[in-house]
Amino acid sequence: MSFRLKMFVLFPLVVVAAVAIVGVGVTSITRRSFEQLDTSHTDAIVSQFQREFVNRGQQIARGVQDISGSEATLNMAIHLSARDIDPSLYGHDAVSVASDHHFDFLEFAGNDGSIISSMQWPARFGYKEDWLLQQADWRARGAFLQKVDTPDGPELGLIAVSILPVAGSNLYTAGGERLDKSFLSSLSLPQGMRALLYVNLGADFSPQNLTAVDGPITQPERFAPLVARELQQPGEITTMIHWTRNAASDEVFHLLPLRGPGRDLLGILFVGSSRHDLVLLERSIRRLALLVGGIALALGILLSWWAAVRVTWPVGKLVAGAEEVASGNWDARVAIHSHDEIGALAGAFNQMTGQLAEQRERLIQTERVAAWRELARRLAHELKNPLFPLQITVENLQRAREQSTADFDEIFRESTGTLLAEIQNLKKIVGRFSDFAKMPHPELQPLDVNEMVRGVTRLFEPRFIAPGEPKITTELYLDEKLPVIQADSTLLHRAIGNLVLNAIDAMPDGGKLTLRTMTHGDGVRLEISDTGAGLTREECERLFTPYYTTKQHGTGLGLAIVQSVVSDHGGRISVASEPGRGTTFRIDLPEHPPDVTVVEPIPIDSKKSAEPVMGRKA
Amino acid sequence: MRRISFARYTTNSLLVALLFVAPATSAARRPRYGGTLKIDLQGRVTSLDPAQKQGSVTGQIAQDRLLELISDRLVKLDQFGEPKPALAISWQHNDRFTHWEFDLRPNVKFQNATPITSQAVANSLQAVNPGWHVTAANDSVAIESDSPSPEMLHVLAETKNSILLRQADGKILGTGAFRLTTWVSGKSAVFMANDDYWGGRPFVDSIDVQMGRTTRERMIDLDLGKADIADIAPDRARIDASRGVKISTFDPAELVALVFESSSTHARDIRIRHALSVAIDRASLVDFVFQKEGMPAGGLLPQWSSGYAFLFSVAPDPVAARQLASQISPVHALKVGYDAADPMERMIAERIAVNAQAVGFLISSRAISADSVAGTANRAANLTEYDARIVRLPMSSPAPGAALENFLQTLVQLGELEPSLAAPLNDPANPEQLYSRERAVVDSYEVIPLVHVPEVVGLSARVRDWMPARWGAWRISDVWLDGAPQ
Repeated sequence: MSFRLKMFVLFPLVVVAAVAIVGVGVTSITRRSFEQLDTSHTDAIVSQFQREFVNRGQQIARGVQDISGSEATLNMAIHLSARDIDPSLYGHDAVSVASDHHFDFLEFAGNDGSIISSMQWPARFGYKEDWLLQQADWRARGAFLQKVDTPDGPELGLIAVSILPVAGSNLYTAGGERLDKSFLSSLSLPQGMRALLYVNLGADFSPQNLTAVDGPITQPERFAPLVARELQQPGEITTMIHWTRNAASDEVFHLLPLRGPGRDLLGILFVGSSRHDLVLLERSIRRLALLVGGIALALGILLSWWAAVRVTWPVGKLVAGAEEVASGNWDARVAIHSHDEIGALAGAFNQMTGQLAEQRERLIQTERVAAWRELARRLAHELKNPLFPLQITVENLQRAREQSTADFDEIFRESTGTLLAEIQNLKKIVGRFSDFAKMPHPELQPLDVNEMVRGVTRLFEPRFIAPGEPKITTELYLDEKLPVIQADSTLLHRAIGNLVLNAIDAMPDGGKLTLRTMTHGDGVRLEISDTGAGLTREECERLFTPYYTTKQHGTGLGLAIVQSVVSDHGGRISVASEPGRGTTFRIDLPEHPPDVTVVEPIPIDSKKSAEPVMGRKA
Repeated sequence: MRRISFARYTTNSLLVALLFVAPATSAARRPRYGGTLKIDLQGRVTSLDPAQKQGSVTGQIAQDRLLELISDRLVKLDQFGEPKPALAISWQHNDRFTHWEFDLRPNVKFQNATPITSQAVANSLQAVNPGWHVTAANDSVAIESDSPSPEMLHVLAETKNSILLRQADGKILGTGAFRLTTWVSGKSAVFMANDDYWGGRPFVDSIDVQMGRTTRERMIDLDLGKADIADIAPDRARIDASRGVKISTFDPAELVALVFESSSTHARDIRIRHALSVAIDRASLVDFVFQKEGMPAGGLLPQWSSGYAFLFSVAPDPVAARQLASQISPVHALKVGYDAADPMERMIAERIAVNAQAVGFLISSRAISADSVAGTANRAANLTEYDARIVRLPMSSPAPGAALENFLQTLVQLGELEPSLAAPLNDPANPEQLYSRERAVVDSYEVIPLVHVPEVVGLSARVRDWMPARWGAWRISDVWLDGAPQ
């Protein structure tokens, strides 16, 4: 990914991320605020319910006390305290008395708890209400929740009991109100909240026992798990019901258990808080964030494109300049005239390339001088050896002529022979230098590398077995499936021969010469290994430098020529060696060399890389 | 100067005082003509034609009351329930009681002055007794039935066998002491005295009848003098009497029973019905629901009618009920229906539910519509509504045979009794046959008798010579009003 594209993408991403963070933050804060509001509303309703519960309870307790203390009840108690009295006369009293006191439930019971008159279930006349006898001081108990039996099934009532003792016999008055939706209607509920009452009168959840102020309850069965949970783990619970897949229908419920005198769970108050407004607000925020994000994204794309172009244009020019420098054009310059950091960078780049060019010139000059010096030293060294015998021979010849010695002819003949030999030597030295300077262009034609390797080996075999020569064994590992490559057989033969000569020179005490060919990618690989003394790392690094040699009488041009031939074929040559473990030269040649560019013969003053792996540059 | 002794003076003073007081006392006790008698009825009557059944028991009772005003039967029952001549002055029958002949009273006219004829009588009886073959002769009618009808006279004394002239416009005319002048169906009616009544003109000039009055309205009307005669619910009798209302209570002539639906699957097991029968505390029903007005019923007929009702046990046996309940598995919850318009039926149903619950049955009471009560509703729909229901069966006759046959026929018509149990009795006058039939019905537990309830009537202070028959037949033509204008 380019720098421009990165910049182009980064800016909109930052904008979108910023909008998203703001949106999420606002949503989170909003949700927290709503939840706090819901909690406070729920607490208020619960406390309101509890206050109402206490107030109603006090009213009921007072009402029951009033009934119990009334003249009619007293007369009933007096009458019933007598023996053999038929209580059926009072069978309908509870209905009228309850109506006067607006009670939903009222019962009069005799001393043994037998019902004398029941408002809620008149037909239960004569049956016993045993629970009335279980507590002596009902007045102190006040009002309490109690399951009340009716013909239509049990109901939940807020009940108070009063005892009227007459002549050693008690008349129980138990009355109260039904705890149902009318009770809930006394609660003032904020918008979006509702209160439900579940009357727990049976072992199993019954939808009919769940009531609300405002009409029927949809999906009442969804409350069954909450009721079961409350029955298993009594206590106040807050939970959520997902009515539909639409989150706006979600509702948070706070459960308040309602207990009877025996701590048994008789009812549950559900305070529900709709998340409708919250979800709608969240959606609004999300839509706004998306809208802002979309607009910001569009603007961001435009701005980032402009900024990316603005910023990366000079960077691109710098990159182009750097690539030019990398490709060898050290004179490359970047034309940027801004006054910001990019302008400074461009100036620094231009200054750097200028300095590099100057340093290169200086380096070239230095290397050229060094090369000349090396050449001069080599030439001097190469030429000094034959010149000294020439000088001695000529001086001997002059001395012999002056002394007119008898054996002058003999000396003359020997001296001229020596001179001719040394001159021949000089010519040979000059020829080698001349050959290096005049490397021919490769003439490509199909070449069987294996066959060429065998030819080189055959050429040197007599030398390997000649008496007085070091004993060298040859091993060939040739891949017979090697492809035929396009190459100049003469140049490659000469290069391989040079490497074999180097290997022979590296094994003065004999050894093993191994030649190996193999397929390598689309070309071939040739390895020439010896078991000689090996080379140090520094020697390996300088091995292909012209005129560098580790031999006592070498010109330092052999491996340079080899490297030049391989490079001209589009190949690579490398060396692997360690002192004492021999040396291996590895040559990789393509099957079809790329267009061979004419490489000028390495000038005598040019600097060759001292890298151990040498190859042709594209 | 002749001295008058103190004793003579005292005697003379008393004689003078008697001369002044005696006429006044005599005037107060002597029947007076005139005035409007106001009657409040609980039931609503939609038609006076006995061929058209009313929608409720109270309506049926009210229809009987109004029919008695405008019509006569061939035979009437005296104070002791014995048949006496009415429109028929004499009668004879064959040995098998399958053929009866009645000689008609001469010079009797319908209220439109049309003379009563034997054909009119035959038509009237045939309309409500399709099982009979009624033929008219010169001055008599003959009735033939497939089965022996030894109770024919008592049957003919029932109000449904009133002799009526059915006109083309649907109106009916009778021969009774009163004639209908104003009719608002189900609400009110006005009857005027029939001056040409063959039995003599009634004392009151007119009767104003209000129908469908609630218990509270009837009580208020009595208190305010807006009603002279009003139905009183039995459970109110004691309270109203304590408030000073003049109460007239008849012999318990209405059977309240729990009747099982013949097709109820939940109550198919006789042990369930048996257990429920012995679980019910009938005495409590009488004491509490009816405020001691009535008698616990073990059989269909009341003791005063049959004389053998004491042979049927009415005492609850919760232990036996629990044992029976424990033998049944599973015990399904039963639904007991009651007339939604009748609070007493509701109370009875709820009490039965309480009794049943105490012995391990689950019974729920359920209000049923007027159509269901009258038996006109879709019967298949009823089956899903209840397994049994409370029924009120007024005695049609003080004669046990006639009353029992009427009970059984009514139950068969409602489809809640095996028809074989309602087969005609060979000798309805034979108590053994009656008992045996009643026992068979009771032991089937398809009908559980609960209570025999009396009719209770509240009277205003100005009602005089209120002398109804003990089984509930009003005799309004004998009533006169104290203080009514001459």
